[in-house]
Amino acid sequence: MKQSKLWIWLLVLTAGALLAWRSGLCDFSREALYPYENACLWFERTVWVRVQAVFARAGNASRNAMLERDVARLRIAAAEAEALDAEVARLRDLLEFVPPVACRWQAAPVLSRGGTTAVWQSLRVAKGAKHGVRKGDPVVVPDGLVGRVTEVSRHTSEVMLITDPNSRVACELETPGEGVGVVRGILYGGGGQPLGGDPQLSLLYVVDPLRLRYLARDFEPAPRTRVVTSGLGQTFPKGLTVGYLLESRLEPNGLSREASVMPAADLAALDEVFILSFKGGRHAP
Amino acid sequence: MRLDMNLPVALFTLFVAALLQDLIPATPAFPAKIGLLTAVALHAALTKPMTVALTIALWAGGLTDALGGLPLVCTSAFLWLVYGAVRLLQRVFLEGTLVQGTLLTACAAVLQTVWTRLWVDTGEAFFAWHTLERLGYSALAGLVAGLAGFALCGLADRLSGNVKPAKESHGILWAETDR
Repeated sequence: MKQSKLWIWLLVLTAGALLAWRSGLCDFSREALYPYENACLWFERTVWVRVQAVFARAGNASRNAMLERDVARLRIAAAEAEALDAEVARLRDLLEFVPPVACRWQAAPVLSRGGTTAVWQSLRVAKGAKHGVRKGDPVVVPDGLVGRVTEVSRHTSEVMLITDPNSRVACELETPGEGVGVVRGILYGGGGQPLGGDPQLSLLYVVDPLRLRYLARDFEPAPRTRVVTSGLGQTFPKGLTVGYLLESRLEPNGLSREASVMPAADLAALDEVFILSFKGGRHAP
Repeated sequence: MRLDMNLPVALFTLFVAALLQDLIPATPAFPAKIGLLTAVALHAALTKPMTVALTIALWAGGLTDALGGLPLVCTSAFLWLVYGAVRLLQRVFLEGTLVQGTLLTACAAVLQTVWTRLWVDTGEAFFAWHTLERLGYSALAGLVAGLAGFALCGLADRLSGNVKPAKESHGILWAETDR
């Protein structure tokens, strides 16, 4: 009888907590799993990698040589960039140009993908409010844009990917020679709605391309044109690579053009991402 | 006072299920999550008293929603409805065995996908081929979840002493003698 009473109390308390403390419960659950997910990550990165290395030494040697060549090449590029930085600073001084707000980036390992339901296209990363991450911070990898931070707890952050149906990114096409506003649009996340047609049965899973909408109707961009952030949405800085254009066509209403875009980053194989934080709040340079 | 071993067992199984469900990703080749939390709730519905089963269903649903970005009563409400259905079906044929639990979890996973789709708008057309494709993946994920979830819960129950696996010579479970 007493045990039944205990469970009734637990039931009532849980129901109350679910109804009255919703956001706190989300943070609490994420933080409760964080140490164990982090432990799994540590195991994968330190122990499992070494176990694999035992079986793949020859591969590692060739990979090491390739990485050394890459490092040498990047050192040269960094030296060139330093010279360019100095030149930019000198020219800004001459023009009395106010530089954009500085941003800092921090690497964040990916803890899990899609949460427990995989309804949304999201990631959970091991950096949170403790590390200065805030809602809305852009998330990138060297290949291109990944998404933005939507929820932050003390040690973790939820990242909404650009492929999520709720994602909207202000973008423009990198098309030299066209006027301002001609090639700007809004990039919509995927969602099983192919460009201009009904969904069809597909036996092989293909990544849904993103949809770039509201482009100027008279301009027909070439396939493989690079799509970058325009900075007009006040969330992402200008010039981040988002993806590459596949094809474009007039929207059904005939007022504007829409294009399908393949993301530049391989969003299904992310192990580590970079979170950009702006010191002076949201900014579009 | 004798400690109710249902509580630590429930906490342990829910924690392990939540951790595994969160960590195992839905890949492009298999775009469905293994719903271990649902399996734990269904195991409780089949084998535990009503208050225990409903509390575990509420916890499992809350964890699924909190870690999956869903409205916080979405999955809990579904699991309570499933609990009612399971209790009705138990009068006819359902038992807490591994095989029946696995099949039940597969069916529940398909229904849960539809239920979740009714609660959240993902921007996809519902009456389309890819919905059928997704339901197929959910059923497969449910089979895996049911097998693993019922095995885990059964093991935890036996180790904790909630259920005694030893059989008499005539084949009746010791646990059956308490009913």
